[in-house]
Amino acid sequence: MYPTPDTSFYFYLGEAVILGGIALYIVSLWWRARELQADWAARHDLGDGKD
Amino acid sequence: MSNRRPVGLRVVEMAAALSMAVALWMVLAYAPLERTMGIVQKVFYFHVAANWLGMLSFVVAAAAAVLYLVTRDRKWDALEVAAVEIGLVFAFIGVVSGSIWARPIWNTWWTWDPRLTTVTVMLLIYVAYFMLRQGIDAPDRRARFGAVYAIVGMLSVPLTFFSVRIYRTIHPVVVGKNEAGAQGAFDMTVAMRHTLFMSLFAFTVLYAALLWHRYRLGRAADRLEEERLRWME
Repeated sequence: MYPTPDTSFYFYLGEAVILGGIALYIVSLWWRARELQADWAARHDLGDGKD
Repeated sequence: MSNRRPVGLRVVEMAAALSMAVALWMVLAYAPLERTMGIVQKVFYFHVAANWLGMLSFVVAAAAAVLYLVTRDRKWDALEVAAVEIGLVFAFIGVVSGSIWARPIWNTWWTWDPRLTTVTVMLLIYVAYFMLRQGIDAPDRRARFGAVYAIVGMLSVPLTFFSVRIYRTIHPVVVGKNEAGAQGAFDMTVAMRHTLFMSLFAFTVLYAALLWHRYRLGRAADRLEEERLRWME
């Protein structure tokens, strides 16, 4: 019987890509929400004549 | 524009975080080590779950597209865009993680196998969705085009799913009979099945949370665009 190969590098790389990819997407959602909020606030300040 | 999250969304977020933690623990500590592939076989749990979400999301997008065409309510357009975007993210994660698994098992990062080819075509179809959408300025025309495209594009999902069952392929099949030439196939133990189902469940709950967030973002962007257009008039 052959010994079980050591494929841990590829395992950790694969998990890092999956969990890192999800984390990056969550950050992108948060970032876009923040930008939108700022855009909205700026527009409404203009509308109120505060700017 | 309120940035307070509804209670339901907070509950889904917590359920997603908890179930993802349990699924990760099961992958690392509960699922047994497969003898011929070693630990890299464990990439399979999240790889399958990511691809499941990719395909599910494109089907959700097509359903939202049908509802948009029937009702002409822009909320369905926002849901469709959210579903396509998340589907694209997860399908891409699925392809990259599969490629990493393939390197030690198939001895190559990539091969033009039917499954890998059909999933690439599917990804390109949905990348083009965003590229073409952005070229249309009028919101209603853009939404109408997006809806028709999402419905037609959805045809690539069953083609990708069944490619490993229709064509001769080296890609293993999770449910059903493997091709004689499939490389990297294995018999699942009970603990492996538990881990796979937990991963599928955790990713689906996570999907619900992400879709809800992305939908809210899309609706907020729509409101801002409507206001901008009114102001320009």
